Amino acid sequence: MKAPKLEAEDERQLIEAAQRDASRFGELYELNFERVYAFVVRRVRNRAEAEDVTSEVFHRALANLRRFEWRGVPFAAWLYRMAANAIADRGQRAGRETELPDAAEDIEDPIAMRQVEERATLFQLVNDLSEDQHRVVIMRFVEQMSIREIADELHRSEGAIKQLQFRALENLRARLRRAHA
Amino acid sequence: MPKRSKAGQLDQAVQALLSQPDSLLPSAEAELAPLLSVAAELRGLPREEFKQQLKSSLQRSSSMATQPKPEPVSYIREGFHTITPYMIVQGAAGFSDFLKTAFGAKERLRVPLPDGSLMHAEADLGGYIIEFADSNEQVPPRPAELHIYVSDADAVYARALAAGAASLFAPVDQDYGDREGGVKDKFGNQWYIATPISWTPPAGRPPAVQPVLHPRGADQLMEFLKQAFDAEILGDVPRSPEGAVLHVTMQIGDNTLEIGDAHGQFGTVPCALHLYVPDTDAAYERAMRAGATSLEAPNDKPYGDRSAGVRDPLGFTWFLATHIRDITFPLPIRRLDFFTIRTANLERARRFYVDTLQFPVRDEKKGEYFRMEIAGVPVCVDYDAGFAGQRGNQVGVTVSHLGVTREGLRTRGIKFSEGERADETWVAIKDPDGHEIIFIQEK
Repeated sequence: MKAPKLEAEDERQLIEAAQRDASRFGELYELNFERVYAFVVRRVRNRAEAEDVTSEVFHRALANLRRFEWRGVPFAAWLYRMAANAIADRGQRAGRETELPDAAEDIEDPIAMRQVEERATLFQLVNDLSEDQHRVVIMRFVEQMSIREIADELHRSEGAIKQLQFRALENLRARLRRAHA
Repeated sequence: MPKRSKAGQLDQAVQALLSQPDSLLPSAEAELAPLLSVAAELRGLPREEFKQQLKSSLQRSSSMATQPKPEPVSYIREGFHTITPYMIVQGAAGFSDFLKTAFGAKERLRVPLPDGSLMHAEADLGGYIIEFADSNEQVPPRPAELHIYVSDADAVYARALAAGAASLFAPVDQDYGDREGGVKDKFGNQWYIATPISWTPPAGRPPAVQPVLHPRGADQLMEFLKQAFDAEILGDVPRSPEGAVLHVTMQIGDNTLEIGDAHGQFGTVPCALHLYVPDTDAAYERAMRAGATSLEAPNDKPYGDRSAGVRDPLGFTWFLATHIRDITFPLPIRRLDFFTIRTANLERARRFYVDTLQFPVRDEKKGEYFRMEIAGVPVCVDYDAGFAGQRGNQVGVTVSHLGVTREGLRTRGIKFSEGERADETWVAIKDPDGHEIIFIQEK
């Protein structure tokens, strides 16, 4: 599985539907959430900031959707641009524009954007793991729990949890290669 | 020393990665390196709860966006015309009685002060509104001259005299086509009571109430009204041999007023007029540029008007207003004194609010209630054994910094949800009884 990519015509129809009826925006959100988050997360300092910026981007997108004009450029590019602006605004407000690289430069860099796409795909692939592997990945990488804490919570041995983590990463690696082969 | 399993080796590297987020990838066997790259990317994995919360928040915003917007309101408050006389009189309640008896007016609003005087009142006279209020030490009397059109000038003139007014002149057929008489009421206002006899008003009916202004310098006033309020002269401007303006009708919006140079018994009565304009701020600026002095800069009033006050160079007072929203007459509330939320477990609620959130306690009675303070507002938490399981209240609190609030809640181990609307972001927590406290930061 790859971060879902629509044919240009399908995307145009989705955008026009959401422009007519804002309640259809949810479909655009589902298709682009991981992309925006993947773009943002490497340009901010922590999870709280990544969530704030992602939230800001989608709320701005919803508010300005009527102004979006279809010119054949993917909708995600518009979201990335808003994300880069939001990150720059926050940097300026915090007086640290020199510390973090300019997220806007990423948009022009094909390698950086390929990494964003791969990261977004990876985030989606986590949902396809088996239930056990999925839980271990969430507890370990999102909730930052230790192997022992996870073992206690899931009533398994530490060795079993390490195995689940190993298998989960192997699976993700393999599926990621297939998706971007 | 036993050899570590691959899973063990990988976890050791993952642990290093997680404990030093900014470091480079730890070294690992070639076989494990690709897995470690995946692990490094997974550090940025979003929370599923966040994805769902943001989706819900967007759904709320989009449903708000699709709701029909309220119809824009007219800049003139309902029932009013653009020009309304505002009379400041001594004995406003008696003046209201006079309006009813003499002219058949209907009082439509009365705002009394504790001493019985009227802060503001409105009467409807033939579909036009007259506003009035009691004078006091700060606000001296400010009577007006009004031209009113009625169906029988003689009868109304007689009723006005019977109601205590003094005659200025008995009804006569004027050469400008009106039968007209004049009276002065005991509050200082002059009334020209007229019925058209040899002319037909353009709209079939003349305006029931037209203010009359007698400045010493009608030309200057006319010029001011043109520049400040886009007033237009209707018809000719007849003048005396000396050049004084005898009579002119000027239109502003949907109503007219009459102007003539002060002469003889028609001296200047520096009245006050309430003028609805499409944009109070713009009209105020233009009036000031045209030579007015400011009485009050534009500001929003609690009754739904944006309002300002100026005095024109001839001494007439103009209360400018733009109606911006329809509001039922507001209650004169000064502050929220307290409100009560209920709890099925007083001790548990006290631990949450006082020990954990650290809201200060004002007073309490063990086993019955405690009263705490949230941003200066006393909130009473009342014991009610029957409250368990019921739906809670919502308390909204504006905070200066949502990020700090979030950290404060995290430090206290309190779970929260969060979201965003077009103009604000919020973090919400629930107390042990299910009451919700929403911390809001405006964007």
